[in-house]
Amino acid sequence: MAEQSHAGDGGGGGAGSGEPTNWRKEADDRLRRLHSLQFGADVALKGKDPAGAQVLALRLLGFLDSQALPGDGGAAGHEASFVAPIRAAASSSVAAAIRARAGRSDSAVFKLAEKDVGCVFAKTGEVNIEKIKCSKYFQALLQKSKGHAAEQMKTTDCQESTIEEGPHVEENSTDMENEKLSIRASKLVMQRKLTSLRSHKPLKANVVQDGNMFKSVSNISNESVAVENGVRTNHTDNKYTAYMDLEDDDRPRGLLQNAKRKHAGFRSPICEHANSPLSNDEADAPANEFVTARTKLEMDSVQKYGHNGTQGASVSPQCDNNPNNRNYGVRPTWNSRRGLRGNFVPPIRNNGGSTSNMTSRVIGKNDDSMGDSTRKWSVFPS
Amino acid sequence: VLLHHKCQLYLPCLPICFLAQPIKTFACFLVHLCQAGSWCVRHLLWSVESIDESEDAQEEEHSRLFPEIIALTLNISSKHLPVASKCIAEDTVHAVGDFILELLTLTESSILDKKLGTTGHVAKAAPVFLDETIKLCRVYSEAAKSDQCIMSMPKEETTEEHKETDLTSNIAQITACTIQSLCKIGTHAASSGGSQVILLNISWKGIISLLQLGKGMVEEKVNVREIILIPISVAIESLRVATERWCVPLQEVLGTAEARRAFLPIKYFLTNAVRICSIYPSETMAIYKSIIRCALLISHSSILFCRNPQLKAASELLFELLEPSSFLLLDTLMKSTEVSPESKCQLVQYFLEKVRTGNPEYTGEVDHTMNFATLGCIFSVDSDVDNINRALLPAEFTVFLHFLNASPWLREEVVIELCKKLHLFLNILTLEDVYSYVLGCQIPALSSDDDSPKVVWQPVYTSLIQALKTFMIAASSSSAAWSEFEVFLLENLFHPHFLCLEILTELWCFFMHYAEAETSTYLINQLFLLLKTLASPEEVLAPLSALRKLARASCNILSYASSATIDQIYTMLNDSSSKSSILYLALLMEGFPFDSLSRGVKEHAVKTLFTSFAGYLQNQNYFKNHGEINLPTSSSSGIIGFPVHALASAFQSW
Repeated sequence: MAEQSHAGDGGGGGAGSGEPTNWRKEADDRLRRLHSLQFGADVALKGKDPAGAQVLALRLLGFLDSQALPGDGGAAGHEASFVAPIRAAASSSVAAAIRARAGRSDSAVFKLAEKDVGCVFAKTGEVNIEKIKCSKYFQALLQKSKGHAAEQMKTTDCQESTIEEGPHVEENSTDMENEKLSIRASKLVMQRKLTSLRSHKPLKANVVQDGNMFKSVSNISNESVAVENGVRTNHTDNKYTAYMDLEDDDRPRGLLQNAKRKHAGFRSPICEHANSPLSNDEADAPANEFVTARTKLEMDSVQKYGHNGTQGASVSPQCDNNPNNRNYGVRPTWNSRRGLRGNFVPPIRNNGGSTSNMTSRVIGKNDDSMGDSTRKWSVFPS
Repeated sequence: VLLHHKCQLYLPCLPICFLAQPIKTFACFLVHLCQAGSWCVRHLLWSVESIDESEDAQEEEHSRLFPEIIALTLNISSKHLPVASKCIAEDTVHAVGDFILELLTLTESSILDKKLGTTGHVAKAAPVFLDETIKLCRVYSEAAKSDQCIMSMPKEETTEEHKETDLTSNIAQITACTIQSLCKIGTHAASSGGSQVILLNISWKGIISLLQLGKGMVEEKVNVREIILIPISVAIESLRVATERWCVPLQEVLGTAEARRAFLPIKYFLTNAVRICSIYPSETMAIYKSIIRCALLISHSSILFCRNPQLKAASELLFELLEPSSFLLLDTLMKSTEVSPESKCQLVQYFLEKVRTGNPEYTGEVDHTMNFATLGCIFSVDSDVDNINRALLPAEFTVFLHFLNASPWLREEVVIELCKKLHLFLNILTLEDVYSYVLGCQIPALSSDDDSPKVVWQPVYTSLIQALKTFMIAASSSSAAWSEFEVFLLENLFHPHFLCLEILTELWCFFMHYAEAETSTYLINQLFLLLKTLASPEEVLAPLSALRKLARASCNILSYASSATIDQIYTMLNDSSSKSSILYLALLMEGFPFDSLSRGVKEHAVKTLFTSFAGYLQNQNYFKNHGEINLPTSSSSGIIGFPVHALASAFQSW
């Protein structure tokens, strides 16, 4: 642990005459060890020494675990993106070595056991699955898993903001990798647009279109239930978020926060409009109308911020008076409210301490079992 | 003058005895020999306290004559002992007993005496006498067992039984005394550095044969446990001397000849211990801790030698000569029908007993440089020091590996006990000493490729995996043991240490490869039920999370399964539950064996992935066009972009 913290300090600061030298030397030593283990395993596999390759790959895995930095275990760890591929490659080397060694090794084992090579495991014991679930290792993992679930509530907005960027990138790469799929997807989207344009009631048409994607009635039912649950859940989240926003707004920033919020609110419609690559001229007209209506609602929301009762009352009459626009009336309201808060919440969450705490806690658990046994990796000169 | 006069007096008398008839005057003759022996003993004591005032001339003559008298006495005795074996009667046996006791004392004293022991006369006469004595005892023991007693005076039945008991008791007493004398002589010969090989061979050969023939009679009069400890102690001491001599910076590589010269005597003593152990397994079991310690010290030396390239010859010879003997000591106990299963289980339980992975001492700084102090401490008799226990951990690991390899011929109860120890055995792998030994060292092993096995060097890890697989095959012969092992497989796959996870993965692969379809399907279903319980949305997107590591291990295991089993797992994972979807995504990301699915199931799987992906794209595009933001729980798994991750991962594996 001392070594790791020292390395971290050296890497972060870089001040003083002694620290840079130590920092560079330590980093260089670790890099050389990493390379020697990595290349050693590859050479051993190619050289038809699966036993040696397996041991080297295992030592590499141990080295990576012993050098784990804070954040590797958590979802937001930045170093994981560098370590994970190396670890995956090492695991693949181990698996390849096991397969390469299986024939000779298994023959030796059967010879030692004085049995012919073949089917030997024929007894089916009655495994008490509940007993396994109560074992200490399984319980440790289960508690960690539940811990994640509990923390999910606190970081929902943060994850939404983070993940919204990810799929976009993946979409591009996927389209580039598979042209047919992209063409097919485009056709599907175009068909849906044409259908919606022809129809007098766009929302109904979309519902019908979505229904065609599922091949059984039960699926449609599930989708409906999921949508309802989603709406209800998010509504609850909004209330919770609003409360948090109130606290945050009052304490750290005051008037500046208000000004910033207004600015963000006004900017969001333009951005969303720009992010519609497949829209055409005819589609713009309905979009403009929607934006205009939402802008009005946003203005109302800003003016009457903090008066939830009044806002609700204002929305309900419209729905009652205009049955055909009921769905539309509900969605913009929800969306505008969420959009406002969505723009504010991520920076605060990211800068907050909850993420770091979660990460360090996870790392602590890992260190307990792995760090001790692999702390003295310098024992293996390469 | 008096001493000189006595010497002169005895010499002329001895030849007269040769003319006597053996049968008629044998007892009287023995009396004279006995007197001669006791006289020599007393004279020997006098010589130690000799007075300086004696004349030099008389001293020289005395020194010259005395060994001759002893040798003459022993030689005459040796020639007449065969006569005694032809007449087994109570009075004769009794007289012979007294006679032998006296002469054994003389022989002991002569050999142990620094001056007399090395003279030509005694060196020649003593072994002959000992050999004849051993033969006589063997004849007596055989006679006692077969009840071929000839009664000199037949009387009533009660009296005869009483006499027979006395006769057996006399024979047991003679045999016991002979054994004890042989032990003293053998110990002395052992510590003489190999200069008295003849005495060494005769004494230990006699000890073993008399112990064998005297079984059932001599246990009460002879402490067999202490006798077994003699060769073991000598072996350990010899090993300590060799280890201390070699574990210093050597000028050159240790030669095979030198190593062999050092190890052959140790092997001799271990072999003697094995022989006694096979005759008296119950007595040996009473000192099983000493037997274990002997094996541990030999394994410890083996580990020391393996770490030093200059001692490669020592490593190979130790593997060839000493380890088999020390393990044979343990094997003899384990194979013996005289030792109860409870005792055998107790021996297994003793292993790794003092290891506590939670003890901070075991995770502290470790000084890997072996020095004399550490060696001396390890080889000392005091074995309750924590440092010794810790230093011997790799040795305990090695000896335990031998038990795993030996499990095919162990009893069911012992196999079950070994299975329970596997959990602890796995934990000590995470301790630094054992960890560095397992992943950093190579050891000699027998190559099974050729018809004639030869010594090859392989990683300790390879030996570990082979031993565990051998144990799996042994456990599969017993339902109770296999049930215990199934628990081990399922519980320890969730071990937090990476090395344990890797080992368990390889054992699971071995199981899947050589299991019947029904058996493998059942157990892997249990595994995936457990994995589903652990699935969480957060961990599935973290590459270094426990869930992802388990998913990778599971994919490796599945790659050894049949298509039918993989189909079944796929069906289980697509039951529309959130946990199943999360686990399925983790498996896709870590290399789910799609190609192994059967044709129909695979087509359905691929179609489902594409359909989900297309549907997701449509939803995303629609929401973007209409200014909507996607609901975070739009998919049942609760993961944003689930279909995208799934399809992207599947592409990598295709």
